[in-house]
Amino acid sequence: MPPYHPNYALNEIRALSLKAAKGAGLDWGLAEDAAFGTVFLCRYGFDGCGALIKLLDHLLQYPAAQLKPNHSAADNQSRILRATHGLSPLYAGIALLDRARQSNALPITLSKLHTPLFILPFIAELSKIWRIPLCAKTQHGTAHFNMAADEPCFSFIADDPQKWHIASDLMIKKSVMAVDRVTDNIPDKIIDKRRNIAHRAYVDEDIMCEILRLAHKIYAPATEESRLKGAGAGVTDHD
Amino acid sequence: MAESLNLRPPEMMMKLARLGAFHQCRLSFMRQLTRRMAAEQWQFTRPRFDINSKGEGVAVYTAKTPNGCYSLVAFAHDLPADQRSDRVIATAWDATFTLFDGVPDDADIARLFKNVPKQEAGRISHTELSLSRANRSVRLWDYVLNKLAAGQQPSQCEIDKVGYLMRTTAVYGSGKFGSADRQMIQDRRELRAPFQVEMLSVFLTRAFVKDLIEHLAVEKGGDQAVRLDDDLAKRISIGNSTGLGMAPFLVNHPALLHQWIQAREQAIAHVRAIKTLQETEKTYFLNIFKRAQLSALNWQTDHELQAGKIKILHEDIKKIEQKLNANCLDQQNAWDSLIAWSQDHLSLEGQEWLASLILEPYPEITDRLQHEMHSDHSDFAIDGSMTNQELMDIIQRRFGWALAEDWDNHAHISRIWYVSQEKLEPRLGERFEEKLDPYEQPLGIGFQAFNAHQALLQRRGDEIIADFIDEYPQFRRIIRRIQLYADMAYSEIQDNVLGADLMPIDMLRAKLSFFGATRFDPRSDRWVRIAMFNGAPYPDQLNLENADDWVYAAP
Repeated sequence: MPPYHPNYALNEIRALSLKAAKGAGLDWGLAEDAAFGTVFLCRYGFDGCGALIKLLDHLLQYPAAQLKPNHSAADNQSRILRATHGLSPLYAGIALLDRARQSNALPITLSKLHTPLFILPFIAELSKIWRIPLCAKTQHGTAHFNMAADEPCFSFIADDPQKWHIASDLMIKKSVMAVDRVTDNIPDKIIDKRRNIAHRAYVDEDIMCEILRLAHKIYAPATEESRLKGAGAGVTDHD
Repeated sequence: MAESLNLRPPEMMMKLARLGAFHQCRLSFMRQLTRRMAAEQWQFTRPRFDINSKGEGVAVYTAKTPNGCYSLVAFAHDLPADQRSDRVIATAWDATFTLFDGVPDDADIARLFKNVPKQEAGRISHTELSLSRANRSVRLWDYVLNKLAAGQQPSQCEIDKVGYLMRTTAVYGSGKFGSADRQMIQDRRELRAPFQVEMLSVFLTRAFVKDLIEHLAVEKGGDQAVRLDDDLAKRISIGNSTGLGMAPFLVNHPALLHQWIQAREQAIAHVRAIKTLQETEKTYFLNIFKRAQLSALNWQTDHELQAGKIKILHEDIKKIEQKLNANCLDQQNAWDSLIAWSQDHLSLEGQEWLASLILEPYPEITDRLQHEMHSDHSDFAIDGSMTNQELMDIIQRRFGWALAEDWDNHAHISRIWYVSQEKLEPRLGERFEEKLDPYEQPLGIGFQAFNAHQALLQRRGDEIIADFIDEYPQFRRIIRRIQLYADMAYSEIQDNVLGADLMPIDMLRAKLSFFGATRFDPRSDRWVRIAMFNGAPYPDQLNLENADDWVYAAP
């Protein structure tokens, strides 16, 4: 296994999170969505890899059908997404995005959402598709997005981003604040404001070890046959 | 612009056999770089060259651009002969390199010295833009060194047989092993075009290699040692051995592949649309034609299949020569007629050689298209509101070849792409002989499109894709891909990359031709040696006169 390093290029995070999600058993397509979410969070300075590991743990615990949004007719009216064993932000995220052009009715409630941090990339993408500012609110704070603006903007108002790893109800609404002004009147105790774009991801050692462990599952064990045939050896390379 | 032009269709261009016959052209990334460096008068210095008599030490080469500096940091090693291998799975090299963003100080050099020589096992940072290594040519290095040390020049014939003193085996960038992400540097004008970091790294590596062998010749021969003759030095390229690691790139970067091929096809179509040729254009072309003919005659390989293709290319060039001697360029629509004729009378190798060559007299038409060769494509979401029928229509339009393929025939899916635990490198296995299915990399795009289409046929046409994917999540990836690249005509290889008759070197050749590589010398069906910057001026010789057509043999 490769050694641990304190910081990573975002392209490395993209490749590793894709492999880790696939290694955890997701189909390639869903793994792409997981990698998209992880990189988005890292780009805005969040612990995207930590959120990914929590997400994958949750996915491994229950059958997919129990983590996907199952909406009753009544839910459809009021746009409430819920799941039997806690709504996975990955399944909720793709349900919102895949059907974004079907309906842009707001508000949308995600009931008992697991790892709410991981839904933020998908809401940002919704803001881009719908070309409107959105906000996502939980009991631990509010995120504002204006991703269709000339200068896409993402503000996050919460006393502790770590609390966004804890399951919570989340409501998506149209943001009434101009996102780039969100930070103007924030009390001092609110520490996390407008998110700047980060070019590197800082990942805890335990988290990276787990990502590497999962990613490793997609690699085929080396055999003498693959060593000789797979890479095209067997001819002289003396030149 | 594209709509009004008669572009060669993707059904023709995106076949592996044709992609495997591509040649460099004015749009190639090496030539884009040398043109820019000359036009912007980049300054080159060698602030450090601390190499001992055994060839160990560090050297720094700095390129000063109008906007900043880039420095190649080169570590030279004394590698025992038995450790020398140009396989990507090697663990030790004669020289290792990184392209540093700026000018490194002593602390940077010390940090890099601990990491760069280890290559994949080391770690670089956001201030490094690339990571690479090179080995000396067993065939040529000692010969040239001994000659120079003895005060003699090596023979041109011996140099041409090999073509390089050192060969690289990988040039990593774009975030690999901790280097800077492309997103961090892509807005810099000089790095906007693809692979400019990697090309600059190789250009400076070539200067280092020449300095190194001259330095060692002095260490060995003392006062009688001589420097390498300038004309001979120009004939020396940086070699490169490229294997399967590069093959998935074309499949995994559909938007980029489209941009590259579209730019070249647009250039070709613009030139074909010229009705009457100016005398200066004819003269220029006939001169370049002779030089390109000489280059083709110098192209050597032991690979039986490629050697046969080169022989036919030589015959093709003679046929073109006969047409030119019959004053075909004096006709109206001469380029269009010549290209149309080539499609009926020349091999693929000859057709693509000619198609690249007709761009040469037209920098004003061709070179502006180089700005179209990068991709900022970042769309990601699936449009679930599309109906099944609409998606099937796209598949039928874009993947007709795949729908016609007999996928029940085992020979058509007998290959399987996977990544080995050993070196984390892509490999190609036998699906029905090895237990590799759980590790398959999803590169068989045509096969996936066919399977999605089969499943869609079982559903109602007016159902939306979001409902289809809910039920068939295994098609999520291919549906996203089909939707995102539906309007990029050249984004998909229109051929089977899983079949028993696959030649992965065709995929390598397509990419390497856009780099500007020459002298393709396949070593098997899955790796190839090439020459980079063959004929190019060295940094201290670069000027507006020699910055572009160096790729063709000296007249």
